[in-house]
Amino acid sequence: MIGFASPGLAVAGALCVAVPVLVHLMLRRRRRPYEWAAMDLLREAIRRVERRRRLERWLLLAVRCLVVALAAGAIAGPFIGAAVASGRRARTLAIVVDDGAASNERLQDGTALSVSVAAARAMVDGLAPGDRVAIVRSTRPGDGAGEPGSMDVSGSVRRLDALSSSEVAGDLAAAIATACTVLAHPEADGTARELFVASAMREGSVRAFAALPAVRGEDAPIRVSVMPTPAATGDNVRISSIRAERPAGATSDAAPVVKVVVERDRGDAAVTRTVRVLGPNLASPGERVVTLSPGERAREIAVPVVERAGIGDAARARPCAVIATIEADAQPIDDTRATVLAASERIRAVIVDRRTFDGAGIDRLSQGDWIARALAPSDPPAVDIVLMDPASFDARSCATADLVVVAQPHVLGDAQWRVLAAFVERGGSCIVLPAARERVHPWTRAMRDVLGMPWPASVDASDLPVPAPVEAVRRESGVLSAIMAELPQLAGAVDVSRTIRVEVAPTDASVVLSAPGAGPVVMQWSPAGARGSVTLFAVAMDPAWTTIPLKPFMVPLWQEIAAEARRRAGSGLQATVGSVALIDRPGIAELRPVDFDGAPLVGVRSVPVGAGGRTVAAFDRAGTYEMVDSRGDPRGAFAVTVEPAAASVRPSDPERASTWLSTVGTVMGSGAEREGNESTSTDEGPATAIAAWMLVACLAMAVLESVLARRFSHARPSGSGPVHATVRIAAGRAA
Amino acid sequence: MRAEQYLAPETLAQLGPFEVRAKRIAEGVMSGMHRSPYQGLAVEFAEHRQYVPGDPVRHIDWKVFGRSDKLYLKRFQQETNLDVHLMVDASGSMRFGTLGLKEGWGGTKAGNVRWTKFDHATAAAAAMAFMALSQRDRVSVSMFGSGISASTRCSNAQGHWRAVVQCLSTHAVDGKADLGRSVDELLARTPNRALVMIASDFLIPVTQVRDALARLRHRGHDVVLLRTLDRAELRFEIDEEAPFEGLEGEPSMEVDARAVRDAYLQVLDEDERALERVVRGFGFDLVRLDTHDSVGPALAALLARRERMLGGSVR
Repeated sequence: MIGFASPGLAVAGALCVAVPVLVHLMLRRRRRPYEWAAMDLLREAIRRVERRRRLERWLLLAVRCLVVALAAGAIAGPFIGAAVASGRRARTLAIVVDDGAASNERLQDGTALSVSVAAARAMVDGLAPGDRVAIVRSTRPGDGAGEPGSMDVSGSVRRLDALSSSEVAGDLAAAIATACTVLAHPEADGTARELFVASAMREGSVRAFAALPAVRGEDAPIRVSVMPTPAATGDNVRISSIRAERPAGATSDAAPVVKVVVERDRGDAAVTRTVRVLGPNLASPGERVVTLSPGERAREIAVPVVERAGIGDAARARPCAVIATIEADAQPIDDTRATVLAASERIRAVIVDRRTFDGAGIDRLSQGDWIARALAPSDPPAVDIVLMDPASFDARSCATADLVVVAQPHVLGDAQWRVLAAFVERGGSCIVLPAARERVHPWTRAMRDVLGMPWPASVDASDLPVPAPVEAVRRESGVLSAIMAELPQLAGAVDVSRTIRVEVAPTDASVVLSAPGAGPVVMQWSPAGARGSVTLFAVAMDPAWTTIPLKPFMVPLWQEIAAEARRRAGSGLQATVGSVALIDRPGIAELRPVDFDGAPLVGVRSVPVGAGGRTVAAFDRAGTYEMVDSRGDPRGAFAVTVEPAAASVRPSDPERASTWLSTVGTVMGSGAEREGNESTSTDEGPATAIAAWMLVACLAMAVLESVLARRFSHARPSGSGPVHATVRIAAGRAA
Repeated sequence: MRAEQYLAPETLAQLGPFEVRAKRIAEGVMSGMHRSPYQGLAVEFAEHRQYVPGDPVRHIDWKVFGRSDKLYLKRFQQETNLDVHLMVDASGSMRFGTLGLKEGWGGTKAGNVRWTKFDHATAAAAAMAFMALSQRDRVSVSMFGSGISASTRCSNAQGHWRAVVQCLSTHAVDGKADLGRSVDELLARTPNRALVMIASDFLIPVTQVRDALARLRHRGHDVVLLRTLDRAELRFEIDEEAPFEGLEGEPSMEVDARAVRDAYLQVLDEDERALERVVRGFGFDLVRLDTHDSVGPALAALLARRERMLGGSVR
């Protein structure tokens, strides 16, 4: 098998073969025609020489093409079975380079990526002519899947040198899977198949050791090696979460609250960090010093911030960016995190309930009335409430809603359920409660089929022999996390006497409230692919079902539900690096990168927003963006964050890593060790010899071309006079 | 000064009046004959008659006198009326010529004008006509292509020379040549045996020439073929690949001239030999005229050859 040290050059040379062909064709262009009388004689003469002439032309063209091809081949450094020639088995080397978010880690000798690239280059330098190499990046693990390795070693080195750390989460497992497809390619048959993992093997890269493909073969097992694990330098503390919101029920000029979670990623010693909160709408950076004591994993702090005076309601009406930052440490990209402070506009809740005309009185209030009162206890209300009859509920009804409460689900049709599903998919919050006066609830099937409820639910409501007290389920996050401290006291005062049975374990993460003996009371989940949430009440807000409406718990419960809806409405304005975002705002044309002051960043590409509100490309950097409409007007901020787990620089367990990699082949240890044990032939003798022979052949062909061209041109020797028929005829007559 | 120097085609071409051109050629031919005792073209012996005082002694047949001791004079058939029919090819192929005119001589401009085969053939024909008329022989001229397209009557009358010149100098040169048909048309109006001179490039199949000559031979005519070719056709000294277009409507051909040159010259040689075999087979004369050469020497050689053929007979 013939190969080239510079395949690109060989391809270029092969293309140059077209040059003589073009010259040949150009020389056949039409010239000024000759007028000629003796055409019959000429035709006969052509007939006699045509076959020979055609042969001459093709021969000359072939020789010329051969000259060019041989010259290009000689320059491109050819070799024929170099490994065979040197008595060594050819190698196919697949190198997985970790260039994901974790590779931004600062080490003593540069970044984790630069160390990985240096190790990979050392491997590539050890290749001999005829060996194949493939580079697979952990941030683009699908590239090159199923393709053979390249013999273009210099091209591979260039690719390695061009690598730069990304903020996108790397997928080492997927990259290794791709490398295995390269090694399984038929071109790699009969070669020594090697996989080299150029990664610091941090937890952010291995991602809990996702399953690898089992490609180990009996005949030619893959030899797996990993670069030596670089020593960690210093601790890493990150901002794992930032949340900025206005207090529930507050007026538009109330100061926002920024809650920042500072988390320890690496190290156990006490660490102190100063959290600074910045933002274009903030009067001055808010600062809080936080100290994580030894063993303490994370701490949430609230950073007081003050909005700039005089920014006006118009500015507040637009989402604005808030950035939290701490001192840079071993992993710089997780020391800053941005979020969006949702606009101060009030949320809009639609309560789908049937009007009753039972008159006034606490015992005559409908479920919708109870909920409306709980959502808007103050005046002016912080929530705009629309009471809507189920018959008139449609897609237009929830086009501008943030929260939809369905109090009469049994009367909704299939189309209305699909409207609800679409509403949840684009970020809305949907709360469904059984109708107070109904005993049979067939709509629970629609909950499963359309809204993706993961559990079965009974169709009939069941009365409890004894009212069951409600018990709060402690959650660090979620709908009631803000009132977690008061929750036992509030929830303990209410009980449940009638419920719809939902087959979900009380310990399931989706359960918000539960009543021992009666089962879960409130559950919340997000359907697959949806940005919003669905909350199911197993009880109706009616005294016949529960005492919740009659107790103080009613108001904070629904206020927290409204706050959750507000948060979700704002959550549509952020995404993680490497993902494609769905912008739930009409008219947005592009996302323009800005700094923490809101000033445009020069030299950073904007991200266009395509049809349907989806960005046309994945984000490749974290930070804040300004949403801009088609006229170029700003429409608010958008935050892109690094996935904290993907940037983790905590060292992974070496034993576990070795076991993990052993599923694809025989783990040989570090690349340095392997290199020492194996002799890699770099004998370039055969390649040089072939190139020399090709050059000689090229010169010989060039000489042959000159001779043939001279001969086939039928040029008369200089100085020789014309020899023509007239002379011969005259001579014949004289004789 | 040699006559042919006056008769170089470049020189002839600059002689404006056609008539002058022909006379020049004829004079050159005559001067090249070196006081030949034979004034005419006719060479066929007719009869003897007894010598009477006053007859020119140079016509006495001395062989007869040696045998019989009596004086007899030799008489020839054309002595009284020789018909000379000149046929000039005016087909498109005769339009070909590569010889440029000399600039400046006689105040002329060369421009793009070329001395063509037709020019050469008409010059030769005119010279022959002039010589024949000078001897009181009857002359007719016919221009032919696909047939005889123009002709003069056969006459030796005073002023007939002008009609000959008129016919030769004003005819269009175009179309294909059909020698057989043209000869048939000539034979149809030629009752007497005559000398037929055909000036053409004879770029037609040799079989066509043979058929035409056979019919002429059958009717007892003597024939002289003046094959007129351009030097470019004879040497084919073209050094590039180019399309070649025929002058008689032949389709264009892409020709690498250098590559086909040898083959072309070989084909031309074979064609020339084949034509010569046919002509000699009938006992006729073939003269090749190169448009780049003077007309006179070739015509003088023709007359000399015919003189030798008579073996010293007198008129």
